[in-house]
Amino acid sequence: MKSSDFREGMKRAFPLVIGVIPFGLAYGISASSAGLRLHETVFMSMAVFAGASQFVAVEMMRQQSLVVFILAMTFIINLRHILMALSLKSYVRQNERLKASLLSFGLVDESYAVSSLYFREKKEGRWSFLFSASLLMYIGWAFSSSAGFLLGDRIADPLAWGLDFAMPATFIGILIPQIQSLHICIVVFVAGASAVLFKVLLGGSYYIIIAAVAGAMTGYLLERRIP
Amino acid sequence: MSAIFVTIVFMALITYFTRSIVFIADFRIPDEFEKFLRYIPFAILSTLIFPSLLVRDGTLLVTTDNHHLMVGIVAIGIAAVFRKPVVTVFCGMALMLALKGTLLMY
Repeated sequence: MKSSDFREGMKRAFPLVIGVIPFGLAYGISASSAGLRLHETVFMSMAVFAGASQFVAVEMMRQQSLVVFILAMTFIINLRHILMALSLKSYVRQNERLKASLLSFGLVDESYAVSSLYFREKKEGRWSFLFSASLLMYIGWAFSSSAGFLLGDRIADPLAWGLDFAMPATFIGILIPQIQSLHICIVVFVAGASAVLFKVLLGGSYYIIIAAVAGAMTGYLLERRIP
Repeated sequence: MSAIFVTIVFMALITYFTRSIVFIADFRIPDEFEKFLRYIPFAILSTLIFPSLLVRDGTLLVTTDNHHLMVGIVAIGIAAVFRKPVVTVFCGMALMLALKGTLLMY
């Protein structure tokens, strides 16, 4: 049972690792041009393991921002994890709290996406799945960060070739087949439209939380009114 | 120890806090809240997808020059038909690279 969840996690996270590699390369390149050293660049990927906040931190280090501002940004950008963790909380049995707390280190957007849908499908927490999906993302992120740093300016910015499309492509690949009811379809539309709106209006990264709450709230209200 | 190293350690602690606090804390999710939370995976995925297709450099760009949007629409079609993430990713990336490559040639 456990080893089959482990293998399934690897299988389902595989397309997502492909998607993260261009970002790892871009982060490594950006860190090297901002003056970080190789061990710092890789240590950040292995200890923080949060792409968006690493990009921002490196940019702020380049501009010699105060450390307290860098840490505040890290907190703000990563606040969405609280929402993700909340949505997995009900799968955690009382005796699984320690396990879930430790495994949550690997709760990145990608491993969350595949795991939350897998738990939903199996109607219970499958922790080996979360572990293997996270592990694969972790290896991919650490290696692509190092590779980006080492290649440095010898390769052009991989995101400029349209390789950043790998991220939405992977998320489209896992989301679209899961839209199996009108409610979910409306949630996707509301969350997507409000994310676009708030990103244009506010910039920054608050838009993810605001739009995710707006989308899920719509789903909740629909469910209450239309049984 | 360099200032950068210490900054990274604190970044790691803060990030881990946001991921683990909900699991460390001992509480039960109320049933009504759980109904709301069940839509979060779909909502979060949507917030990650749509802005990266529609918003370029901070502004809404709905034109054929927006390659992410054009290939994104095709990728949504591919995902709906084939229902296999790997197929969507590889076809989507191949299309994007072909489009960028073609534009470079002309």
